[in-house]
Amino acid sequence: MRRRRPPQSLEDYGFERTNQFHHFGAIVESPAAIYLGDWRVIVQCLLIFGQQQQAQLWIYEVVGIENDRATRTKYSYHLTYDGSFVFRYDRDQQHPDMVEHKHLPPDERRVPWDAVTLQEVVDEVVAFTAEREAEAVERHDGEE
Amino acid sequence: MHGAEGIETDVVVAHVETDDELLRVLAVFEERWLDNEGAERLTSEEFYGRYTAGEFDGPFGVAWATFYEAYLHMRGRIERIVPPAAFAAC
Repeated sequence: MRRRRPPQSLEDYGFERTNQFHHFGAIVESPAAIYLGDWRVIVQCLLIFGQQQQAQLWIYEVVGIENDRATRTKYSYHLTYDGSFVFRYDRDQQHPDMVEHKHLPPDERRVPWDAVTLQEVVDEVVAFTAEREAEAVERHDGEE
Repeated sequence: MHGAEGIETDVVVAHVETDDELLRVLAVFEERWLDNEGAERLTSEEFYGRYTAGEFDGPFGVAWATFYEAYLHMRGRIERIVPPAAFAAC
């Protein structure tokens, strides 16, 4: 029989997450874990992707222990590219009508969206950045 | 600790343990809001009432709400362990 994984503490989450930031192939800036007593931990960081460092993903997670597991009670994954807003995934259990949603251009309009993992968001950012860089190369080649 | 591109990225670890510390953080949010919006001063309590109604749906609002909820949580815990006034004369 497999042993059940012991309950994950806020300290475990803060330590593991801030280490995980370094495994996404991005530049890692300002990683932080802010413990609000023993109630929540805020984990935040800026990940920078792209050859010209043009994709910036701001990560903000609020984590508590629910049912013996570390749970993201809030998150905000906010992507800009060349300084322009691309998307933001939000989760907030206090949101009155849409706990999980995604903001999109124009005007950061809000649309319903299922919960996302950080890995899924990073995969989307990497694919988006690769696509935009390929388009830039095509444009550059076409101009020559 | 170093990032993937070799940029030094020390992880900042901070602990906010008391309601006084939270109040100081909340005051910073209130000032930042006033600095950015100018026309309207909001207390954290006023902000949170509007936040839970669906306003301030952005990173700044989420961060402000997180600290206000922590303050409510910490204050609630303190109120639970303070004896009711009725027991004061016992």
